[in-house]
Amino acid sequence: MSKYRKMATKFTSRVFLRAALKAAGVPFEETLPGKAEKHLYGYQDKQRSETATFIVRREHLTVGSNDLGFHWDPDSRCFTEIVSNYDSNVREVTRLRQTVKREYAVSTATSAAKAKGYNVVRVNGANGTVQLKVTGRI
Amino acid sequence: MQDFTLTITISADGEEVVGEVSGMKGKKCSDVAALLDQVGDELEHRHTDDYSANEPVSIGTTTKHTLTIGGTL
Repeated sequence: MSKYRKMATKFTSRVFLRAALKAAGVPFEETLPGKAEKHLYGYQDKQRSETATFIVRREHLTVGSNDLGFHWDPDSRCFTEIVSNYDSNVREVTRLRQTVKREYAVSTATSAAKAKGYNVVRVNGANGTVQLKVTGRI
Repeated sequence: MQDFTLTITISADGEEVVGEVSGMKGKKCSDVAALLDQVGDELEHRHTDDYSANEPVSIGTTTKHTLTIGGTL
């Protein structure tokens, strides 16, 4: 081994976040670029002050859930998750959020490798991890 | 040119992504590891002895043949 790098996943790309939500298999809404973000709603159909570019409406989550959102922060130039305190402790919602994050990393790395002409093979681990084997010549 | 393998391991919760380059000698492995730039923020990186090693150099050889046909020079 010649180089080792550890990264913390960060949602900086609309394209890859969209791909990750699709890969997670959950219906979502997306605000088009240049349009105002939509409001999130709570479990009692109350409009919340928070807005987001990508929203998974509560009816696609669990009974009692609130909307789950990904809000574009222009200061940090990344999408930040908006999740209620209640949903932070709901296993299905946590699993969804983890899947989205994992698939975001997979999409980003795979796309970067293929753009360079490298070969990519995905291997799903038994414990939920994903390994990508990238091979090529440089 | 060198063949390489970049093994990328993504944690089950998606929070951490680790990339390990193997099969290469020299500093070009950094170019390979740079693939991970778009994933997020770097937490840690380290190099091994292979990083400091010289990249392999290919040496070509040519053989010259002289053909003398009859007579003397």
